[in-house]
Amino acid sequence: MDIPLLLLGIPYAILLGIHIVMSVVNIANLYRYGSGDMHASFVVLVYLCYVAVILLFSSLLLSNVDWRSSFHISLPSSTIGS
Amino acid sequence: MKRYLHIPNQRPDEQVSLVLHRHWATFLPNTFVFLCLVLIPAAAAMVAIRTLAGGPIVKSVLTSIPGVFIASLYYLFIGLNYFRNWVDYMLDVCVVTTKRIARLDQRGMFTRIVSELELPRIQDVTVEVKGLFPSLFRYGTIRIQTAAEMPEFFFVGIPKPYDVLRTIMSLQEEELRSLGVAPGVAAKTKSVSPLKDGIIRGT
Repeated sequence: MDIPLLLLGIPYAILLGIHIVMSVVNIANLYRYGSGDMHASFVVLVYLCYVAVILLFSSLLLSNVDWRSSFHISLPSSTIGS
Repeated sequence: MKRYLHIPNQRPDEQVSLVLHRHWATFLPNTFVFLCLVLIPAAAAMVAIRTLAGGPIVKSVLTSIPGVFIASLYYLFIGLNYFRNWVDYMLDVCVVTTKRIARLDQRGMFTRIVSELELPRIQDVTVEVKGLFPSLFRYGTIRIQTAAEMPEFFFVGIPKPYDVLRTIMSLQEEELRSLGVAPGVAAKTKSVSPLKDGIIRGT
C-alpha cells in the first residue's frame, strides 16, 4: 500500500495548530489579567524563542524531504494450508 | 515593579495594600521536572547514538520524518506545559486592600476564580511555615477563618507570611475602628502568639 508522505504531515499540522492556539490563549490570559510587566514580557519572549528554535530545527531536518513521494507499507501475508 | 492587577468591583475609597504572589521557590519543582523532561531524552539519544552497536539505526530513526515529528511535538508540548504552569503561577494572586482580601485564582487556561473576603468578617488568621524549603526561603500558608458560611480562605506559598499576617491584622483593626466597632470584639485577630511547628496564630 502506497501512502503519500504528505499525509504524515496532517496530524503534525493539527497538533501544531493546537499548540499555537494554546500558546496564544496563555499569552492572552497573561496580559488580560494584568501581569503584562517587563518580567512577564521577557518570559514570553524566551518561550517564543524556545518554540522558534524547535520549529527551526524541525524544518532543517525535514528540508530535504520530497513531500510528493510516497512510502510503501506491506502487511504480512499469511498462508492457510500448504 | 509589578503592576497592580485588576480587582473586580474596586471601590473608590479602597486602596491596595499588598499584592501577593506565590514565592518563586514554589515554582522550582516545575522547573526541575521541565529540565528533566528536556535533558533526559536528549542525553539518552546522544548516549545511544554514540555507544550502542545500533547507534546508526537510532540516529536514522530520530532523523526520519516520524521521529522528527514526534520529537518536535514532544518538546513543543513540554515547553507549553511549563509555560502554562508559569502563567498559572503568575496569575494566582492575593490582593489585600484596605477593605477586603481578594483571591484571584487561575486554574488552567479557561478557569479563573475570584473570591473576596471583607476584612471585618475575619475571625482567625493562621500562618503555617512547615518543612525545609518554606523555612529556608521564608514562605508559608496563610489560612483565614471567616464568620461567613464560606470555606476557609487560604493562600499557599506566600513570602514573608508573618509580615502579611501583621498587615492584615492592622488593616482589619483600622477597618473595624472606621466602622465604630472595637477591635477584638467583633473579630478576634489582635494578639499574635507563636505556637509549635512554626505556626503563628492570630486569635
